[in-house]
Amino acid sequence: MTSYFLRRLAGIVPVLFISWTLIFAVLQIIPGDPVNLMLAGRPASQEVRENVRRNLGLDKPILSRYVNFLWRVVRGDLGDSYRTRQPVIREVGAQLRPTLELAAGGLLVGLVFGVSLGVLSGTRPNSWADTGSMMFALAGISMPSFWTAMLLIFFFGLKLDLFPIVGEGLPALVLPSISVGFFLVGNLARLIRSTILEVMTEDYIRTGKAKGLNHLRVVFKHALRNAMIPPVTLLGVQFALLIGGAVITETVFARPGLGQLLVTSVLNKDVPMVQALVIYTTSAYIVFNLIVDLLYGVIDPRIRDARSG
Amino acid sequence: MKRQASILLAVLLALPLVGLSTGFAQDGLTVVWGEDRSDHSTLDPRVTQSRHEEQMILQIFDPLIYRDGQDFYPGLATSWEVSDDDLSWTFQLREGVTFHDGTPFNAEAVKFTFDSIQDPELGSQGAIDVLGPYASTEILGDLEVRVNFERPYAAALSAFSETELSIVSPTAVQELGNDGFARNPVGTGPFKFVSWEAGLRVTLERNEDYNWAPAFYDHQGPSEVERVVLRFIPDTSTRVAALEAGEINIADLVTPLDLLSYQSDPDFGTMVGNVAGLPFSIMFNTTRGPLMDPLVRQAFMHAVDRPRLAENLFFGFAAPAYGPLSASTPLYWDGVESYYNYDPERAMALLEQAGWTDSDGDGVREKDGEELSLFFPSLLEPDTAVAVQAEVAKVGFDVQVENVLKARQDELIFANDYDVLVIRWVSNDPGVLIIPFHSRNIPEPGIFKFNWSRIDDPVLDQLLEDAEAATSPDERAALYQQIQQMIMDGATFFALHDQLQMVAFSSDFSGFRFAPGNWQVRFYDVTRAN
Repeated sequence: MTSYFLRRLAGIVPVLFISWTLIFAVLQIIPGDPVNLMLAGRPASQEVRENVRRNLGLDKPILSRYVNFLWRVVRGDLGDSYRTRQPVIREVGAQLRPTLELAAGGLLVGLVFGVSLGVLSGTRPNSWADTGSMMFALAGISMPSFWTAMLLIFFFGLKLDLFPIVGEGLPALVLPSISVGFFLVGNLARLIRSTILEVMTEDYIRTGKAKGLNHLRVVFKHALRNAMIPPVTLLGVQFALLIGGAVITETVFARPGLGQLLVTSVLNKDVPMVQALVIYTTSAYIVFNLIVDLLYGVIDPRIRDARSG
Repeated sequence: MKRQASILLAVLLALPLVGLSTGFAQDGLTVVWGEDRSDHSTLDPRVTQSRHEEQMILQIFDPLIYRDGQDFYPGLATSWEVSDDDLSWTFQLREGVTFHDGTPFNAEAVKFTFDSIQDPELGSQGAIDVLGPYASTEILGDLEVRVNFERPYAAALSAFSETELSIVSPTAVQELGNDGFARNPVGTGPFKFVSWEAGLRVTLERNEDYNWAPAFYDHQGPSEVERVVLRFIPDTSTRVAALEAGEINIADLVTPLDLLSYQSDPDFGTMVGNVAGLPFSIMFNTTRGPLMDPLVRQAFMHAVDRPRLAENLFFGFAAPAYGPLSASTPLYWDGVESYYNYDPERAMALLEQAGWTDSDGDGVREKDGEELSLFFPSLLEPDTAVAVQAEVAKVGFDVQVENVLKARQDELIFANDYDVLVIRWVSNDPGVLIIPFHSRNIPEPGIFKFNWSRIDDPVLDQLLEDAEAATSPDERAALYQQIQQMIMDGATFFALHDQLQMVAFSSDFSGFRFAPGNWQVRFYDVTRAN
C-alpha cells in the first residue's frame, strides 16, 4: 500500500509541472500590456512605466521568466494583486474557508440525499418510490443553480422564514449547500440506482439473501459498497469543482468565496490573482483525482491488489 | 451500526434547524446596508475613486467643510477665508477633536493629508484630481493652516467638502503604511472602523467621543446607531429578499420595479437621487467614419426620443438629460434643453443633406459605397444601448452593439477603434467638464483619459482653463454657460438620462440622509422610527 501511494504521489509531479507550464504559456498570449494592467488607469510617465516593467521582470528573456515563474510557484510566492496590492496568497487564503464550508455542505447534501434516493430506487425498481426519486433527481440535474437558489430564497428564506438568506453561521449555510448540492443529488441518485440494480443481480447477493441475511445488511454492506466505485469518481470530480468556488451560488447568496474572487479578478484583469487561482484549482483537481484513486483501493481491495501486485 | 449511523445523520441534518443565533447579539441599534458591489479595494479617502467605497469612508471621516444640498457648514474647520489673490485658503481648525486612535486633530494632520495625496507612492485616484492645482500647506499655528494653490482654484470650497479630501490620522498612516491604512482606516468621523472581511462585510462602531457633527444634522453628540454593517450582496433580487426578510435594513441599487412597489408599502421607505455630474451619455468619436460629419451626429440625436427612453427604462425615476451636466449640478445651463429634440423627420433630412441615402432599400443608408454603420462597444446599461440602436435604425443607422468588459473597452480606446461610447461621471462641480472635453485628455495608448470624442478645440480648451481658474462667481457662471453652449453646438456629446441612486429601507428606521451629488447615505442621524 505504501509503495503504491508513493508511486502515485510521484506520478503527480510531472502533471503539476505540465499544468503550470500551460498556465504560464496562456498568460503570455493574453492581449494587453501587463504594465497598463498594473497601473490600472493611473497616469504614469515613461520612467514610471519602465520601472514597473523592470519590477515585473518583463525586461528579461522568456526562458528566464519561465524558470522564475516555476520557482515562485514552488515557493508559493505568487506576487501581489494588482487591485488590492496585497499578496495574492493572503487573499486566496482568506476566501478558502467559506469555499470549503460550501463545498463540504454541498457534498453532505449530495451524499445524504443522493445515496438515499439512489438506494431507495435501486432496490425497488419501478415502484412509486423509484419514479418519485428519479423525477426529483432529474430536477436536480436539469435546474440551473441560480434558479434553484432563487426558489430556495423565496420559499425557505422569505415565505417560510426558516433559514437566513444572507446571514451567518451554520443556518446560513443550509440554503447555499442545497443549491450547490442539488445537482450532485440528481447525478448521484441516478448513478447509484443503476449500479445497485446491476450489483443486486450478482451471485454473492443471492448467496447472502439465501443465507438469510437481513435485507438492509445485504443492501448497505454488500451491494452498496460494491456499487460505490463510479459514484466515488463522480464525487471526487464534483468536490474538486466545488473547492474551486461556486460562482453562481456565492453570488446569489452573497457569500465570499473563490468563485467570486476569480470573477472579480478576471473582470479587473488582476493577472497575479487569476494565475494563483488557476494554479490552485488545477492542483486541487490533480490531488482529488489522486485521493479518488487511492479510495478505490480502500473500497475494493481487489483493485489495490491487482495494481500493486 | 446502521441505526447509530442514521441517528447521527438525523442529528446532523437537524442541527441547522435548531436555529443557532444569527446576526449580532447586542441590544444597541445596528444598521445593515446591503451593497451591490463586492470588489472594494480601499477605504482610504485619499485613494478611492469609487462611490461604493465612499459609502463607508464618509461614515469614518470628516472633511474640513461639510456640504448639505447647496449649503456649506463648518466641519473640522470652524471658519475659512480666501486671500485676495485667490491663491490661499486659511482655515481655523476645530479644537478638541481626536482621531479614533487617540491622535489629536491639528494643523499637522491637515498638512500631512494634503501633502500625502500628492505623493505618487500613494497612488491617489480621486483625491489627486479633487485637490486641483495644490501647491502646499503652511502650518500657522496648532489649529490654523493655510492651503496654497499654484493658480486660482474656483472649485476649492466644493473640493474641501468632498469625501476624498477628508482628514486622515497621520500616526495611523505612519504606523500601518499606505496599504495597511487602506484596510484599517482611522479618521475623526461618527463611526470607527472595526473590521473588513473581504467579500462579506465591513463593520463600524459608534465613536463615543464624537461631538463635532456639522450643524445640518438633527442632533449632536454620538450617533444613536451603535453599529453600522456594510453587507456585500451583489445580486439584486437577493438584496431585495434580504431587505424584505429583515436581514438588512437598507439596500442600494433597488430596481425601479421594486421601488414602485415599495412606494405604496408602509413597511418600506424609498429615496431616489438624480446624481450630479455627467449624465449617462453617448460620446461620438469625431475622428473617424461617418460621425466626423456634425450633420450625422445631429441626425443621430434627433432620432432618439429621450423622455420616452428614460420613462421606459426607469419607470419615470430617471430624468431625461439634455446637456453635458445633469440638472442637479451647480451652474447647469437649461439652454441645453432646446437642443436636438426628438424629430425623426429632421434626422432623415440631415442625413440626406449629408449625402447619406438608402439606395438599395435595405433600411441602412449608404454614401460612396459605404454603409452608415457605427461600432458601439457597450460597457454599461446594455438595455439602453439596444434601445438607442433600435431608435436610430428607424432613420437608417446600422449600429453594431457589442457588450464589452472594462479591459476590452480600454484596448478599443487605446486603439481608437470605436464610433460611440457611453460615459458617466459623478461630480458636484461643473469643473468635471475638463475631464471629457479638454484636448489634453484625448486618450493615448496605455494612458487612461476620457476625451473619447477626441475633441481638439483650442478655444474650448482655453474656456475650460479659464473657467477652472475663474474666481468671481459671475465670471465662472458665464464661462460655464459658454462652455455648455459650445459643447451643444459642436454636437459631440449626447446626454441620455441622469444617473440614479435608488435606495429602499425598512420603515422601522428613520433619519437616513443623502450626501449631496453622489447620493451616498449618511447614517449618523438614523434612529428607530416609532
